[in-house]
Amino acid sequence: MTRDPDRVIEEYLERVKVYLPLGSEDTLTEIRTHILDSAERIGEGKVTEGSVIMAIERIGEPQRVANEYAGTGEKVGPVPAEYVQPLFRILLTLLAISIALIIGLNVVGIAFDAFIDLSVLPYYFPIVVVLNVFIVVSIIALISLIVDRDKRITERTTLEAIFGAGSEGFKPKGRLDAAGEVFFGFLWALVIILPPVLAALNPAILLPMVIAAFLLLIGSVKGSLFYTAGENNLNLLFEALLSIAWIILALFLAGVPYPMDKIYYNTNGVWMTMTVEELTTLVPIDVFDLTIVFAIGWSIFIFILVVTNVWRVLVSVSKISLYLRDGKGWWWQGGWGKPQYRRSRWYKRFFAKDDNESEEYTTYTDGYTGNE
Amino acid sequence: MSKLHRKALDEFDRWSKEVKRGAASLAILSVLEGESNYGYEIVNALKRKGADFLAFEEGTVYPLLKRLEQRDLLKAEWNYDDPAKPRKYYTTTAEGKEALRLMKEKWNELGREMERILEGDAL
Repeated sequence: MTRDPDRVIEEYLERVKVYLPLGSEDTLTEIRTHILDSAERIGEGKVTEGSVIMAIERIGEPQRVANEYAGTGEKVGPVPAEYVQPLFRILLTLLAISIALIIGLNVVGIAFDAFIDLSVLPYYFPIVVVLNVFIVVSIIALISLIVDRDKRITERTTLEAIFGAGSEGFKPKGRLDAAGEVFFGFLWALVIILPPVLAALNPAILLPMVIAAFLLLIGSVKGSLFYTAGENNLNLLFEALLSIAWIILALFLAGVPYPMDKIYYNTNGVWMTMTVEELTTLVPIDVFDLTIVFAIGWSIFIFILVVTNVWRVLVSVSKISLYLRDGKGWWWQGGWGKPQYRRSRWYKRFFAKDDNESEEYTTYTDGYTGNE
Repeated sequence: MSKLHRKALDEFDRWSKEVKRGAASLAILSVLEGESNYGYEIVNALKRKGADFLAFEEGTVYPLLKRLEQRDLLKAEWNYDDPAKPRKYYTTTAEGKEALRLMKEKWNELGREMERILEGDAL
């Protein structure tokens, strides 16, 4: 069965991407052009699956390209140079998830010291994460050695699929996600400050909720910056600071059992309110306590709010430091991540014109967009 | 393969990599001396100049180019004449030209020295 040449190239570039440092979109674009030029020459003007595979073979194994990137060709500690980037990313991802979950649990009142002695925390977590990653990677590497021997140069190995998860965690915000932040930030801010909503809120939470509306509006501005300028250090700093503000606000929000003091209901076309306690009397108390249900729902909301924002802070800070180390400065026309669904077979089957659908917006680091 | 031969090949492999690594940046700067070019054509220019021993896997040229750009020895500019195939054109900077001059000088000196040493009349 012949495959679409574009797809073959994309599969190979996905492999290369696993080994490259963050912000290597330029290099990927260069390699893509190189494959197309080379395939065209091999195929005497035509780009076919065969000519593309030959061109890719000339480019070489992604690990070699990555090894050249590392600049030494030697090992970094016990790890071959080409695996340093993907390992670093996956370790960072796991550490960030762990830290986000611990802080989230603490904010909603499930203290971490119930499970572990906090005095050993600085040593405990890195060691556990490193050990687990080492065990998992060793097992996968062994499987990869056996299963992936006959794979083509364009096909991802099992190990690369695992490392790919690390890349996913650090991919730039998609343009659609940024547009969503603009729209929903504005919409929710409006909803919160509507007089009927404010009237139904627990008085203890009134000020934090008005601040939440303000932060949502700021988030909308941040979304518009990501939408127009893509990912760059200034936008990432903006995101990190806003996320810190959300975490601080969550500490206040967690202080009340649930946000609504009253609940609206409709009788014969007329809107009336009742308190949560009144609502509780309507439900047989021996079935479940409604106030507990509300409190659990609110705690889950706070938990998700904290975890996602801690995650954003950690990822933003890591990316800023990596970009700065790469000499990128603070502001540049950045790119956008490709939404996951756009790559799925189902999406392409139902929404894309054909399987060769190219990126709607191909943006390069110097600001040129491919659709101009 | 005998153990002796394998060890010799291993050593040769290591040595070749080190020599190539040192020579690659000089070769790229030299190809770009006085002209602007992009990755694929740089690779072809190296092939045309008969860089057989130096022949590295084509993909490894790009990290090298990026490194030289980061060190300000090359400057790069994108060309979007063909939007499906954007090309990044590299040119040597003043620093790159000076580095090339020094590297060429040393390379030639090294070549002469090695020739004398290998011929056994270094003394």
